[in-house]
Amino acid sequence: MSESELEPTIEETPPPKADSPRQRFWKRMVRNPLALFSMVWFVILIVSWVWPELLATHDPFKQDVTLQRLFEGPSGDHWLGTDGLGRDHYSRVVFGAGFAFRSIFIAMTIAIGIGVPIGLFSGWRGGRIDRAIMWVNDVLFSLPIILLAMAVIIILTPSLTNAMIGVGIAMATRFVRLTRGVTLAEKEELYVDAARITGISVPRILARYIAPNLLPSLIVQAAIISGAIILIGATLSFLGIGASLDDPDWGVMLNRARPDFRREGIWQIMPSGGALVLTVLAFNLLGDAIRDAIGRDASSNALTITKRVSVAAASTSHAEGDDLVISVRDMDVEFPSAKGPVSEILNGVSFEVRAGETLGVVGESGSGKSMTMLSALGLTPAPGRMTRGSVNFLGEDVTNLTEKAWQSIRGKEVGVIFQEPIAVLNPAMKVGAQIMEPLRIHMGMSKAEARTRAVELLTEVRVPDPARRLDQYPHEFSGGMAQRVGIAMALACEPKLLIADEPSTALDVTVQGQILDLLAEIQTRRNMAIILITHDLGVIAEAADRVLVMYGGQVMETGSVEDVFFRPKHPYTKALLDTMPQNHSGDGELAVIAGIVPQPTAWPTGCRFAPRCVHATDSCTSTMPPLLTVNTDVVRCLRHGEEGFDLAQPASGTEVLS
Amino acid sequence: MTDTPTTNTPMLRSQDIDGALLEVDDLHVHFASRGKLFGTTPPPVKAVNGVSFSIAPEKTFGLVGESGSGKSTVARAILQLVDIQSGTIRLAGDDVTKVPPRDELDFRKNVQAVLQDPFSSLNQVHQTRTIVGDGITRHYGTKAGAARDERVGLLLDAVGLSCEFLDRYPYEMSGGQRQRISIARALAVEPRLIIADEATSALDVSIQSQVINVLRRIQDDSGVSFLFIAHDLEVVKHVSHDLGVMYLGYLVEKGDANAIYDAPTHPYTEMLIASIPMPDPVVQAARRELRQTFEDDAEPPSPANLPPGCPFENRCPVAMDICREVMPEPTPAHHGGDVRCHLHTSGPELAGESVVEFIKTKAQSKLSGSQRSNDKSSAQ
Amino acid sequence: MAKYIGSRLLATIPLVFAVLVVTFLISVAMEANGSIATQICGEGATPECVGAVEDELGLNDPIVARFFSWFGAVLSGDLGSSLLDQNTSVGELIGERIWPTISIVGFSLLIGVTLGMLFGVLAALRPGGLLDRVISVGAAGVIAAPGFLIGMLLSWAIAVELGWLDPVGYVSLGESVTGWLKSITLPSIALSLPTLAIVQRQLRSSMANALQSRYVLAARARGVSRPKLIGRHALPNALVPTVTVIGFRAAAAIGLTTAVEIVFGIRGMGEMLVSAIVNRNVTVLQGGMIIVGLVVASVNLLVDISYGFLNPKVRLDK
Repeated sequence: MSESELEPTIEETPPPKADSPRQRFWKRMVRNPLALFSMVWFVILIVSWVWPELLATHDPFKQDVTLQRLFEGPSGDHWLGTDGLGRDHYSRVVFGAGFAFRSIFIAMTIAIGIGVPIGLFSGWRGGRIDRAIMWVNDVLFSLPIILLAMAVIIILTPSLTNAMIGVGIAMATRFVRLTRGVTLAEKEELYVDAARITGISVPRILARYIAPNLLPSLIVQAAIISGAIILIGATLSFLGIGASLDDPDWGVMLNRARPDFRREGIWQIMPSGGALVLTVLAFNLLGDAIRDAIGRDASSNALTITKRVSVAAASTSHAEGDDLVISVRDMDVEFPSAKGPVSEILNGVSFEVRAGETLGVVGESGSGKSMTMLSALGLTPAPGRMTRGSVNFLGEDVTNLTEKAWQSIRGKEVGVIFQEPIAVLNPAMKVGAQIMEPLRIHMGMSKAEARTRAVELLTEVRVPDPARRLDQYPHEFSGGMAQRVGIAMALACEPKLLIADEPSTALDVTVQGQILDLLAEIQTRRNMAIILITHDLGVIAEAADRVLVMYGGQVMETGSVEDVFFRPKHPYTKALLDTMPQNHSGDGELAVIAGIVPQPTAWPTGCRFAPRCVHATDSCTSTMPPLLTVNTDVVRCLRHGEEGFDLAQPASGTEVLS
Repeated sequence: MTDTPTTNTPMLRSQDIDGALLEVDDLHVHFASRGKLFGTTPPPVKAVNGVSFSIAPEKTFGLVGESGSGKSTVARAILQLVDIQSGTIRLAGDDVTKVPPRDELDFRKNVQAVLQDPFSSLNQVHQTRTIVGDGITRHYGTKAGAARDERVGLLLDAVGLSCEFLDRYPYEMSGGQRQRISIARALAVEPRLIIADEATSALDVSIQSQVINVLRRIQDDSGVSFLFIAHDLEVVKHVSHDLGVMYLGYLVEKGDANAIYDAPTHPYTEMLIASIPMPDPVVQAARRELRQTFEDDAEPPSPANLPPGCPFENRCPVAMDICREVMPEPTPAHHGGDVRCHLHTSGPELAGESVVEFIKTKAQSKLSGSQRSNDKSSAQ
Repeated sequence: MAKYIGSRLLATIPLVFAVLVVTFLISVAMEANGSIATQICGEGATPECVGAVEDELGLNDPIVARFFSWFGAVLSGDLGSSLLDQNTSVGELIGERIWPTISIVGFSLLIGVTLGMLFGVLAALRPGGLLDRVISVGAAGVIAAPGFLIGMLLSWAIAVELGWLDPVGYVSLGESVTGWLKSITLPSIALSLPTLAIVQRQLRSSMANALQSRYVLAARARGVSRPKLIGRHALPNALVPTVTVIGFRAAAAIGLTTAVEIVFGIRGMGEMLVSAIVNRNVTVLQGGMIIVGLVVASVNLLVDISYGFLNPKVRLDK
C-alpha cells in the first residue's frame, strides 16, 4: 500500500485542533517509564551539582585519621561505606556529580560551538568546500577520541578541563556530521526553495527554517554524546590523566579503588561505578526516549505477521464457475490503534475475477484499493487484520491459510506488480538473481535452468540485451525497464492471477502505454486473470473488462467497463468521471468533488460518500446503504432505482466511432 | 534585514506593459556532474538547451514534458535558484538574468512560485500564519500579529480555506489543502508572475481540479500570469493559453495550446497526446492504436551525453538520416509558434503543418511490410 | 572490484599523511613552553644545555623543514628515541608493546561483532517482542558501562571469586598458546561488551528499516520464505550502515583498551601511552599515534572494501 493511501485527509474546514508537537512530545515522554526514570535521576544529579551540601552527609575530603574505618561496607553512618582513606563514599559520589556536569559543560560547549556552525556552513555551501571540510572531519572522526584527548593533555598538561577540551574537539566532529547531514537534506526540501522565493535571507533561512528542523536530532545526539563524554572523562580520570587524584570524581574514585578491589572486595567500586553507569544510562535512555517521542512508531515491519484471529464467516456465498480465479466475500479489515478505537479500513468488500478477465479497481487515495488486494493475499500490513469474510482462490478456501501455506501460492499462482518499480527491487542483489528466485523456489529449477528461463522472461517483457541485464543491479535500470523486470518476476511461474497495483503511475506517460500493452499482450497469450489497481480512469478505460469502484473502504459499485463509463450506477463513479479534465469541455471551471476522503477513524454515519455527494438526501446521511445486487453487479446507493435518478453519461465516444 | 517596504523603487518601471511580462531567450542550463574531491570531473549534464518563450500579462504559459525534460530546471532558472550557462531572462522588459542582491527583494516580489510536493514545500515546524505571513512581513513590513493574521485570513479565503487554518501545522492538512496554502503564500506578496511547478501532480484528480479552479479564479481576479509546468498534457492544455513541449532540455514545439493539442507539428508532441489515456473505453480503444504507432523499446539518451542530432530520433517513428546528424532549428508552425523538427524543412517538408496525417500514413506503410530502414531512406 | 580497491588504497595515502601532520604538530605545540629540550636536560636545565639540545634536534629550524626531516625519518621506520632514555628506540618499544594490545583488540572485535550481529538479527525479527526487549535492556546497560569497569567486575568475579583465570598479567603467544588465550580472555570480553551492544543496536535498527522496505514486501509476495527474506534480502542491505559502525568501534576500541590493559596489569600500548603522557614523553606518544593512525587507516580501508562488496552502487560508481 502506498503511503498516500493512509494519508489523513480533510477539506475546507480543518478537524479539531490536535495536540501541538510540544504537547504530544511531553505526553509521550511522561508515559515512557524509562524517560521518567532518567528525568528523576537528572533532578537528583542536578541538586547534587548545584547544592551538594544538601545531600552529602560528610565532608568528601575528610579522611579517617584514626585509620579505623577504611574499606567499610554500607552502614548507618556511611551509607555507601568508606574508601581506603576512610572517606565517605556516599558524599564523594554526591560531589562527583559536579565533576560530571562540568565535564559535559566544557566538552559540549566546545563540541556544539565548533561543530554546529561548521556543519551548517558546510551543508549549506555544498560542492568542493563541503567535501574538503568533510574529508578533514572524517579523518578526525575516525581517530579514537581518547587518543585525541591524550594529544591535548600532553600539550596542555593533565587536568580534567584540558582533557575535556580534547574531548570537545573530538566530539565536534560528531556534530559537524549531524548538522551537515540535516542541513544538506533540509536544503533539498522545497520549503527552503519556497523561503528563498519569498525573499527570506540565507542567515534567516538557516536560523528560522532549518535550525528548528535540526533541533530534535541535535538534542537526541547531545543526550547520547553527554553520556559518552562522562564515560571518556571517567576513563581518563581512571588512567590518572584526568581529574586530580584527590578530587571526588567518579573516575578518580575508581582509580583509587583499583589496587585494592581484588583484596578488599568488589564493593569498593560499586558506589562510583554505579553512579557512573546510572548517569550514562539515564542520558542514553533520555536520548532514545526523545527520539521515540519525536519520531514515528516503528514497531512493526513487513515480516510482522499479526496474530491470527478468528475470521467471522462471510454472509454471502462465493460466485461459481470453473473459470473463477479469485472470489472475495464480505471482507472486513481492522487496524487497532494505540489510542482511540479500532479503525475499520475495509468493510464488506466482495468481488471476483475470472480467467482471462481484467478487473479494474478504481478510487481516490485512501479508498482502500491496495489494502483490499494485500489482504486478499494474506499480506495485510501489521497491526491490521482481517476480521470477517472469506477468500476463495482457484477453488480453495484460503481465508485461514498459514503464512507457510501462502508461501507456496504467492509467486506461483499469483504474481504482484507494485507501484514503485525501483523500490521493490533489492538494491544489493543482481536483477537476475531476483528474477530467478521464484523460479528456483516454486519450479525447483537449477541455477542454469532458472537463468535460461530468466533470459526468456526478459525477452518476453522486451528488455533489450537480457543476458547482460541479468547481471546488473537495480540502480542501473530506468523506471520503465525496472517495471518490466517487476512484470517478468511476477509472471515467472506463469501465475493464474496477476495483481498490478498502480503499475504505471510512477512512470512517464509514454512509458505507461508500453507497460499496459505488454500486460494485455501477455494476458491474451496466457489467459491470465488481472486485477489492475489504478486511480486513473483512462487506464481503466483502456485495460479493464470489469470495474470495481471503491470509496471509504467499501465497494461502491461494480460493472462492465461500458456500464461504469456510460451508465454509472453510483454518484461517486459519476463524480469521478466528471472531474477528469478530458471530460471537460469549454473554458469554465473544472468539475470537482467537494471535500475529501474521510479518515478511517471517523467514517461518516450513513453513506460514507454522502458528505461529498451532490445527490445526497437526509436518509443518505443517516442510513448506511446496503450493497444491492443489480443483475450480476452491485451498487451501494440508497437512491439507486429511484424514479428519475439517472446518472448516465452522454456516450460521446460511441458516436465518434460508429 | 530591514522591515521597511522597498516597493517605492519598483524594478518594474512601467505598470502598463506593452509586450510580454516574461521573456526567456536562448536559455541554457548545465549542471556540473559531481566530481570526486580528488579526480576528474565528468561532462556536465545539459539540462536546458536554448529554450526561448514569452508569457503575456494575464496569460498562462504551459510547459509540458516527461521526467528529465528540463522543465523544472527552466522554472528554477527563472526563480534564480540555479545558475544559468547563457541566455537572457527579462521581466517586463528589464533584464533579470542575474539579479544583483540589492534588487533581489524587488524581483521576489514580482515572481512567486507554487512548488510540486505538498509535503516538502511547507516547513513542518511552522503554522499557516507564519508560512503565509513571512512574505508579508518581508515585503510589506507588517509584523506578526492581528493585522497580519487578518491579511492571511483574506488570502486563505481566496484559496477556499477557512480562517481556522491559521493555527494549523502542515501535517494537520491534506495534500490539496497544503497546495492551497502554497498558493496563498505565493499570493501574499502580490506578484505579477506565479510559477506553478507540478503544483497539482501529487494530488488526486478530484482534488487537482479544485486547485486548478483556484488558480484560474485568482488569474481572473488579479490578472497574474502563470508559468504552469506539469507532465500531464491534458491538464496543461486545460489551464494554458500558450503551450511549450520539452524533450531532453529542448523546447521542441511551442504555440497556441489548443491548436497544438488539435494538430501537433512535432512527432514527440503527437506521441505525448496519443499516450494520454482517455476515460472512455471506446475512444481509448482508438487512441491505443494511434499510440502503438510509436511503440518501441528505445530509451531516451542521457542528458549528460546527448547525440549530435535530434534527441528524439531513436524513438521517432518517422526519423530520417539527417535527424541523427543535425539538431533542427526552430521553424514557424501553423499554431503561431515554432517547432524543432526536420520534417518541416526536409523530407516531406511539412512547412509547419500538422504531423498527424504524415505519421499515420507512415505507420500504415510500415505495417504493410516495408522495413523501417527503407522507410527512413525513402523519407528523404 | 580490483579497480575499486585500488582507488580506495590510493585514498588512504592522504589520510595517513594527515595523521602524520597532526602527530607532528603535537610536538610543535608542546614547544610553546619549550618543553622538549628542557625535559631532555632534566631538572634545573641550564640554558647552554637547552640550546645545545635544540640545535642537535634542529628545533630552531623552520617548521616545514623540520616536518620533512621528521617525515623522512618516519618513512624510513625511525620513530626516534624515548625522551626519558635516549637508548630506547620508540620503534623497539612499540614492537614490544603492540602484541598484547593487538591480541586484546582483535579478540574483542571478533567476539563483539559476531555476537552483536547475532543478537541484532534476533532482536529485529520480532520488534517489541520479549527477546528484543531483553536484549535492548542488556545492550543499554552494557553501553552505559565503561570497559574498564566491566573489566574490574569480571576480574573480581571470574578470577578472584571463582578463581578460573589469573586476574592480572599477559602470556605471549610464543610462550604458551593456552596461556595466551587465558590471559587475554577477560580483557577481551571486557572490551567486547560495549562493541557487542553498539553493533547489536545498529544492526537491529537497520534490519528494522530493511524489513519495512518495499522490496521485502515484494519478495514476500513472490513466496520467498522467512529465513530467506531475512538472510538474503534484508541482512545484506542492513549490513552497510553496520559495517560503518564496526569501523568506528574498532578505532574506539584501540583507545579504550588503554584502561582495560591497566585493570589487568598488561603492559601494552595503552600503558605505554599513559606513562608517556604523565612523563610528557612526546616521542613515545607520537610513535603510538602513528601506529594507531595506521591501524585506523587500515580499518577504514577494510570498511570501504566491504562497502564495495555489500553495496553494488558504491563499487560501480567509478
